[in-house]
Amino acid sequence: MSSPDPTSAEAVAQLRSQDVPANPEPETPLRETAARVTARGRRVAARLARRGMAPVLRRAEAAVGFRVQRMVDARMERMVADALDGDPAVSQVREIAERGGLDPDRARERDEAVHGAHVNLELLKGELRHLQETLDELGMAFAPGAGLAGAGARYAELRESVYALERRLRTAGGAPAAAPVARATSDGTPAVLSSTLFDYVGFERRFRGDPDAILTTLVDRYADLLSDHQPVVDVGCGRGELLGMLAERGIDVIGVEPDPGMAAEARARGIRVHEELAGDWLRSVPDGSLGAIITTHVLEHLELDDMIELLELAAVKLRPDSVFISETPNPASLIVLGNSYLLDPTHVRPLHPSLLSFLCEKAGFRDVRLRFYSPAEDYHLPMTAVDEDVPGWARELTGSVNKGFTVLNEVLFGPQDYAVIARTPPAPES
Amino acid sequence: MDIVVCGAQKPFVRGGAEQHQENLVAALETAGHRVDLVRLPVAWEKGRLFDSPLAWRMVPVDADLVIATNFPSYFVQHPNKIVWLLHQHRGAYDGFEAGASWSDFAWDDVSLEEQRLLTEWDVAALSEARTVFSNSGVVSRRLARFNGLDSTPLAHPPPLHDVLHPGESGDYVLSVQRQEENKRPHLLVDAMAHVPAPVRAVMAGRGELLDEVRRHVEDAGLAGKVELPGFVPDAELVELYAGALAVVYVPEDEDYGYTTLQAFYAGKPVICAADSGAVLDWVEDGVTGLVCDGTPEGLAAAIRRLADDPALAQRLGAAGRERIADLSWADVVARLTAP
Amino acid sequence: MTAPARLAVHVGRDVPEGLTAVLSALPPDVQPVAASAREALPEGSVAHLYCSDVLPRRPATPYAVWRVPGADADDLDVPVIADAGARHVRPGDLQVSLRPWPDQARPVLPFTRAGLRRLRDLPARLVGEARAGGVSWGVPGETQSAAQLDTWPTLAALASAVVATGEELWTALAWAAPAVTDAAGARMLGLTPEEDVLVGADPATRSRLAAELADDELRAARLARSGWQTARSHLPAGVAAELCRRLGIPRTGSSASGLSLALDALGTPPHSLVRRRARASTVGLPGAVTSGWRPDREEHS
Repeated sequence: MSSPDPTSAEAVAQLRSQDVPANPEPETPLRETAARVTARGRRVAARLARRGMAPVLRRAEAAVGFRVQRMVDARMERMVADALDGDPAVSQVREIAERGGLDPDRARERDEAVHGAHVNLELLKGELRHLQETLDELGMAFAPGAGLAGAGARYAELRESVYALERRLRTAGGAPAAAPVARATSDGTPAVLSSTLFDYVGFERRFRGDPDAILTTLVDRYADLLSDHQPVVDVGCGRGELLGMLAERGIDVIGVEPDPGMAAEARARGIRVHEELAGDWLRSVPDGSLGAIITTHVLEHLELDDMIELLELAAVKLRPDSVFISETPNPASLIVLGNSYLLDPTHVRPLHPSLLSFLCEKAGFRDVRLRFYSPAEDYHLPMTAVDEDVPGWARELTGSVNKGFTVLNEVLFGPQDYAVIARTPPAPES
Repeated sequence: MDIVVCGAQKPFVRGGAEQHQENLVAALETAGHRVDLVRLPVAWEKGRLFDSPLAWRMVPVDADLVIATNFPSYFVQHPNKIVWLLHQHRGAYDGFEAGASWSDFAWDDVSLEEQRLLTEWDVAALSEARTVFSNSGVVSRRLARFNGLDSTPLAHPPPLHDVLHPGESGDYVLSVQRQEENKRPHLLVDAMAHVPAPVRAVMAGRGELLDEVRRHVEDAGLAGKVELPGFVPDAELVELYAGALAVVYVPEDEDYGYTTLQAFYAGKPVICAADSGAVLDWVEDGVTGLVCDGTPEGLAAAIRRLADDPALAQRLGAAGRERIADLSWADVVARLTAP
Repeated sequence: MTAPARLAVHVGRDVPEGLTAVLSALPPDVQPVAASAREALPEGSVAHLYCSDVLPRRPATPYAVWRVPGADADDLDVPVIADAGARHVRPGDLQVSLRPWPDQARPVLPFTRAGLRRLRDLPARLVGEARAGGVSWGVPGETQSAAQLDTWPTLAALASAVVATGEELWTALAWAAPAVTDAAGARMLGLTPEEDVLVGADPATRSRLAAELADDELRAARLARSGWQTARSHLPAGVAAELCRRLGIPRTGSSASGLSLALDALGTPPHSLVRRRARASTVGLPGAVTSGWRPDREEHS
């Protein structure tokens, strides 16, 4: 059925044929006709979302890190491809394409359907990624440091401590449990450098890399984050090079450096420097007054108790939702442990990333994340290209060698530095 | 800046629009810009009406600024497009409305659909422009009435503006125009029958009606009173302007008409008709000229009034000269190229 | 062959109603890709579109924001997209309407509609009013005739002025009718009173305004043109094109379908003479006139 064109003589005749005087009825607004849009794409998306979320959720529960991300992506592509195969519109388009019809209208229809499918695929990806972020956030809330993957262990740990508390309550005969007592601090010997004879400045000059390059890397990594949380305290600021560059960006900075020579140099850059031990200075500032604390290559020089005290103080002195950043060598990469770590005699202990994130968590930080930097790629064992036309056994062999090399590369020549980025809990909502 | 001026042209026809585009190019070059003039042919009849707009649509124009001038050159696509509209497709709008003989649009379905589609295309193409200027209030009013679009009239000096000069008022009225239907040359011939000697009329300019008008003069026995010299070289034309009593210009719904402005540059009042279109943007009755009712008698009365009162003619002419004192190409260029 | 420019889309909790439609309507040389703050940007991303609930503190530039209810993005100096008739709409926001464009609709500005009325022996001054259950039409001040609602497109195309709300107003705008409505009707379709439509508070005022419009050719033309263009600009294709323009996404274009795109963009009906002429004059040039088929898009290979 085709109605005549509204401007045609037929349409006007039709208008006239109904020519009857209108009742002078009061005007009432026409009811709003619902938009009759049937976005087929949306329906497909919804269907896919329903079908697709369950496996993704299951996977996310067991998932760690990037590998899963990749698997989810690949899986998703397959999922969408399957769904598209089942979409009548697309199969219709396929059919047209196979018949080779180049009828412009059909070609256009085909184009639109394919384009629409692509758009939907992209939107789905976006939605999934958002979901993944939400899951990650949830994981962080459960188990800072390990994410959702560690939620089980974390839960068991919490349950255990609840039981322990209960046991203690029972044995204490109902006496209220004392609030955790902050570890008494002793005015011990300066822990930053236990040797008085070692020429650290000279050592650094010889064995550390190009200072400018190191600095630029640090600024690139952290300046944006730090500028959101001012003032920024650099614990063990040395000559104040990093603070100097942050200050150039208009960031409010404070240095803490016990060595008088270095502190003087930092002051010469116009930086406010407190020439004392980090613990002493931190104790002297009001709680919740600092924006951010950064330490680079400092913690591995501290005795365990001093380090724990420093972390605990940091958690107290930072404002809610502030950041604590500590970058140290990554001893999980064996080349680091065997080389640069051992090279420096003032290093007290290798600081494993899991240990540090555990300590941060214990110190009261809420959201604890690890970031790994600069894998020792120069040393990487080379991968062998798998040729399609070599015999099957050779391909298999190459495959397993490559797999082995990948693992070795990871363990031996993995990231050389890592940082822990820990956040204090947000302010309680009033 | 690199500027491309776009203009449509009917091959082998040269008129005001072509001359105007060349003057614009010259003015832009004087201001220090690098300028090229791009022209494509145009066909006006219904069947081929949309061909040239579509061609303009596809022309790749790389420049900092594009200035389109007439239908259909404003269909050119460019992110920095300025339109200085000389005219649209008159046959589809005002010519159609007036039932002009030169419009092939009629009151039938096909014509109306073509007219509708052209309106839609015009709105689309002109809406893309950063600014739409027109060359006169008449063109702006048409654009508002037919297409619902706003535009700013932007006037420019006429050809010969740098050599035209006032002079002693003589005993003749001057008409400078192509002798064509819409300029209504017969009107002045008929009017001269009602104007006593010694006032004469000099009608400069060629055109398809020249021979017909000459015969009309013969038949009416006005040989001594109306001269039709045909083409007049520029130098002579300037002197004709300088020595005239007044300039008669009574076209039907003119878009622009250089004659009016040239008369003002020569310090002469202009006699026009009440339906002369853009001429009325300039001629104010009793201020810079006289507006007659468009009949031979009415025109004759206006001529007699000035012949009897040379002081009035001079006063009106001086006011006209005052009226165009601010016109300059430099100002036009500044407004067209303003960021 | 140039790689397509990519628009990185940051989707949040909910996908806004019109997002799919707008992304689908992007020009063929602009590809939407999903992006996330956690991952590296897809290669070739030249601009970003954030849903306002995932707008970060430091968005990558250039960017636009889709205003999601409940996460309002105010005081932004970037293009903002919202659903037409949404609560918070500022002047200059791109509004997306998912109403289907009426079939057969084409703009008939007042001069042409006067010609059509003359051709069809209709009165020179003719006002149509859409009411509940039917429409009425006639010369202002005289007896009005009643008609079925399905004749409304004819009145929308031919009347000197119309009074309508809702779907009937949308139809009237699609035919570029000079229109009068109420405040709610204008807001719902994202129209600016006085510019796109006239707004009257009560039926009598609206009828009077329509009668005045029928006599004021200049005002009617301006209103009709503006109302039609505004309504069209709310269609996903219009929003997509304007979004690209405001984000400064370069148009590489493609000569393969340029002629058809040009004809489409000018609003040429499918069976018009000029389309046939364009096709006829390019028969020897395969691909010059197509319906948007692009040989450089992989899905056709």
